[in-house]
Amino acid sequence: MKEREKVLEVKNLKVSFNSNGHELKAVQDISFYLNRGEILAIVGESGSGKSITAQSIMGIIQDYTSVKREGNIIYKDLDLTTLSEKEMGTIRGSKIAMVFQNYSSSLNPTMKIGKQIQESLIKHQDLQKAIAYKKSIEALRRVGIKNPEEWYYQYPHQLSGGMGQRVMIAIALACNPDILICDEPTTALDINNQRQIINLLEEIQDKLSTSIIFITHNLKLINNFAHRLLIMYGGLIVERGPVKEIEKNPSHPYTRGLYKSILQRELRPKEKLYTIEGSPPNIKNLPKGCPFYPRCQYAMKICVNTRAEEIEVKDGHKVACWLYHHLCQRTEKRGEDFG
Amino acid sequence: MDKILEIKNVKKYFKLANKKIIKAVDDISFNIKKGETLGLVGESGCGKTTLGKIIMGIYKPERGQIIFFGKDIHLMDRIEYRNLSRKRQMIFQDGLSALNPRMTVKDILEEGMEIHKLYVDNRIKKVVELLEIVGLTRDSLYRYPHEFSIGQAQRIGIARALALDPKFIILDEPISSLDVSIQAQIINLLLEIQRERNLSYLLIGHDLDIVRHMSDRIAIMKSGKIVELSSTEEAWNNPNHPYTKMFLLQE
Ligand SMILES: Nc1ncnc2c1ncn2[C@@H]1O[C@H](COP(=O)(O)OP(=O)(O)O)[C@@H](O)[C@H]1O
Ligand code: SF4
Ligand SMILES: [Mg+2]
Repeated sequence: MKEREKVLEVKNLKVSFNSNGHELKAVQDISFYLNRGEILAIVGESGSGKSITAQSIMGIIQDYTSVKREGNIIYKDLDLTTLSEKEMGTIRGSKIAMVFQNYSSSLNPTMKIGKQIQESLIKHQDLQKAIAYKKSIEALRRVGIKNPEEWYYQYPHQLSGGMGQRVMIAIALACNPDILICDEPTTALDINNQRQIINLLEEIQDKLSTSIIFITHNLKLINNFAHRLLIMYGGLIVERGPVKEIEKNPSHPYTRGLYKSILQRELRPKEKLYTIEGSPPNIKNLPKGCPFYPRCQYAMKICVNTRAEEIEVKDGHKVACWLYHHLCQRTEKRGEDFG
Repeated sequence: MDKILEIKNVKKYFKLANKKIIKAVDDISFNIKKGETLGLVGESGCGKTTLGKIIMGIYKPERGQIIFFGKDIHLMDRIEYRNLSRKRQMIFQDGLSALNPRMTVKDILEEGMEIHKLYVDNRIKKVVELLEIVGLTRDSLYRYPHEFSIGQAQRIGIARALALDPKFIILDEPISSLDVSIQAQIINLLLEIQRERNLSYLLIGHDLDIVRHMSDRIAIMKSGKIVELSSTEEAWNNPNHPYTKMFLLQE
């Protein structure tokens, strides 16, 4: 493989909203990169800042009038945060494209699906109609839709969940973007369709070398699929690294809790499940120190008011937790109840 | 009587505008025993929710019998039918949108008690008790649904279902919209109240690990029909129908 090339780098991104004088910190301060041809998974609970991160990259944070975005978002050599809305319009949808959880609210209900792909092609690539038609048929075929010439004439409400998501992906891929951001694309689907969409994305990454950011709250979906993983909590990245490595050695107490709550096969039927007690933090009132400390069974005094820097526990595997500080003596707590 | 619910040869067809007929539920029979959980799985669109709505009396089936506590619901008199509406409850996938946004939690929990003239003298005490069972505190009483997280809204939905002291609850995807760390909490809560009250559940679900953990028996549905109905263990270890094998063992 060629040397790793970064297609996207997010540096110290902070996003906050102003609600009646309260500052709501949706993203506290995060940095990460995405390599060419890589599948990067972002896992976290709702409200942890995943979608706002994605929307920041796309420049489409909605619904709030008083949003503040700081930091840099570097696509190739371009800082997207410095672009005008018009300039951003040439990137969005053509270089960086996005697929949302709910296709029915993202598609135009009054327009045939083939037409919608065609429109997007004409807008971004200034193609002739006949060529745009051919390309939109190709786009439908590429996402595994057989008889695309027939599907071209269907309306969004005639699609099943899995099919709708395929069409969304077809639209997103129509202009051959470098980066595809998928925000919970399979959450509303049943397990069969979830698998198929994952397989499709794998194939796309393989054939087209598209770089993919895959956002989900379901850890189960990403093993065998994503290369690297970011775990978000309370608007911060609390752990990151290669998926296989984190799976083998989850280190942040929150990550460990997550893996522990999904890998409960050894239990007897109806036996009580392991749970992470408490609930995720409210962004109106985030803890000053570690965002996880109110739920953390290992919390120390320092965790209350001071946030831990990221510490590398193995190549590329980093964790933001005081237990891993080289002077912390509670080493027995690291990975204590995890083999 | 050890059977809470019996379904016999139930059918529900939808006629579309273009005269096409969808056989959403196509000749289904099964029963659910006291204290038992029956898991119902199948691809989306296979008819699970429709079947749930028939059992709840929201849809009228074309054909077939629905027998609650030994009596066909069509043969029940008004009082019997009214009692049934207490004893059967449903908890929905999207906890938040299932709650009336203009009602406080107290009103939501009291609504059914009001209709059924229950706990007339000590309603507030009962309401607080319900909140405690589902892990919420008294200060939720006068708040509105939108002030809660999805997980908390799901707890309120559970409290509302419990308010009328039901015997049977349909759980339609009760946790798929919840965060991972909250899912396990809600599953534990559902298992705990089942144990304590000897409740019967019909659990409709996507997440096979969860359905497997919670169910005594599993019904596998495909295009309006049940293709296999067996004990959870049997379904996973020794499936009879090829579709079961395909559906359950795909991971
Ligand atoms: N009111 C309705 N009118 C027409 N078709 C319907 C209606 N409700 C459900 N259906 C159809 O019935 C089938 C079963 O739907 P549903 O029970 O919602 O499936 P599931 O719960 O398994 O996802 C689907 O094909 C669905 O489109
Ligand atoms: S920093 Fe402290 S509170 Fe946060 S996860 Fe580590 S031990 Fe727990
Ligand atoms: Mg359904």
